[in-house]
Amino acid sequence: MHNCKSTRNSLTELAFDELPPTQKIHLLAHLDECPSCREEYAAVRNALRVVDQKLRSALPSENFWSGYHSRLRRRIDNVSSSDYETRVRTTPASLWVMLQKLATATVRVPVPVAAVVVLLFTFATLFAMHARRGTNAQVATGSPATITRTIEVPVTQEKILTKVVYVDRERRRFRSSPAQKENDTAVATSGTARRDAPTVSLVGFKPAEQVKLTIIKGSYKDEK
Amino acid sequence: MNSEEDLIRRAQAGDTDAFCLLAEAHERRVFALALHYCRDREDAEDLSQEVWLKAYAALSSFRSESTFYTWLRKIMINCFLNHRRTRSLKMREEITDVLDAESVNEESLGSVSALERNVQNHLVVGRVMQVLSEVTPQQRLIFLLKHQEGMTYEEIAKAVGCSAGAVKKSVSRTVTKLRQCLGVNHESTSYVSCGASEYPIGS
Repeated sequence: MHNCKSTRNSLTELAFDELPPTQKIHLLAHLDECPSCREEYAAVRNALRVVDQKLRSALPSENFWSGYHSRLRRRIDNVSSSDYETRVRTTPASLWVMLQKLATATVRVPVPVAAVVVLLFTFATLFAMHARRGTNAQVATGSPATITRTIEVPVTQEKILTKVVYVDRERRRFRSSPAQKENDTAVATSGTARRDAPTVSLVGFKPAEQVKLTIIKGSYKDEK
Repeated sequence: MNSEEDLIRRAQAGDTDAFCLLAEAHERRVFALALHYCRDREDAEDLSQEVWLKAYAALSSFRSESTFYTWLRKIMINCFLNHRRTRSLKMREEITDVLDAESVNEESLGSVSALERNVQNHLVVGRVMQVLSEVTPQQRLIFLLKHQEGMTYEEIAKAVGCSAGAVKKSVSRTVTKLRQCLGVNHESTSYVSCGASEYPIGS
C-alpha cells in the first residue's frame, strides 16, 4: 500500500528515471490505482516538456552559428599565437625578468584565512616569549633558594681535646681528703672547663689539627 | 578521415584547425547550456568561449580515459561555477531577448494565429527563464545538467561537489517551482518530449 505523499515526493525521480527498479514498479502500480497521483505525475511530465520546448526555442537560429564559430576561431588563434610568442620569449635572457616577477609576485589569499594565519603567528610569538621569560625567571631565582635554605649537616665525630696536668706528690698527699681528690687531676675540655679548677689554664693552647668542613650542594661550593 | 581521436591527437600536437573542428562538433551544446545558465546571449557567448579556451589550454592533460565531451563538460561545469556575472541585474524584458528575433518576424508575418502563438511562446519562455533566474546558480546548474544533459544524480553530485541527496532535493524544488509558475496541469499535452522518461500512465 503506497502513501500518496511519499509517491508525490518521488514523481520527479520517476520522471527522470532515477528510481531503483523495484520502487519504480511499486510507484507505477500506485499510479494505476490512484487518479490524483496519476494527474500529478502527468503535470510534472508536462511541466518538464514545456521547459524543454521553451529552452530549445530560446536557442539562436542557424545564422548565428557561423558568426559564433568565426569569433571562437579568432580567439583560439589569438591564444595560440600569444602562446607561441610566450614560448619564444622564454629564453635565458628573460630569466632575470621572470625571477623579478617571481620576487614581486603576490598571492591572493581570502581574508578569513589571512586573519587566522596572522592570529596563529601572534599567538606563537607570544607563547615563545612567555616560555623564554619563564625559563629566565627560574634561573634568576635558583641561586637565592640555595642561599636561604638551611641545611643541617650532621657532625659525625666530636673531637675532645684534653690537656694533662701533672701535680706534685707531696701536694697530693696533703690533699688526701676524698672531697678534694677530684681536683688532683684536672681535666680540661674545650667547652666544659670547670671554674673551680685550681690554677689550670688553657691559655695558649692550640689544637694540633684544624677541621676543614666542605659542603657541596649542586654546582655551588661553599668552603668554611 | 577526421575521427574524434584523430582530431584530438592532432590538436594535442598543436594543430589549431583540428581543435576548431572539435569545437564545431560540440559548440552548440556548450552554448545552449551556457545560454540557459546565464539567460543572456552575450554572457553565454563569453562563457562558452571561455570554456573552449580553457579546454584548448588543458588539452595536453586529456588522456582518453573518458569521452572528449565528458572531459569538456567537467571544464564547463567548473567554468560555470566560477562564473561571476558582470552585469549584476538584468531586467525582465532582457530575459526574453534570448529568443531569436528573426524567427519571430518570419513566422509572425504569416498569419494572426502564428503571431499569437509566437507571443505566447515568448511569454512562456520568459516565465521559464524567470523561474531559472529565481533559483540559485547551483540549483540552476543542477537542474540543467539533469534536464538538458541527462546526467545521473550521482554524476551531478560528483561534478558539483555535493551529495546525491542534495542534488535530488535541488532538482525536485526547481521542478516544483517551474510547475507552480507555469501553471501546467495534466491536460497540457501539446508539448514536445524532453529528456524525461516516457513511462505509461494508466492503461
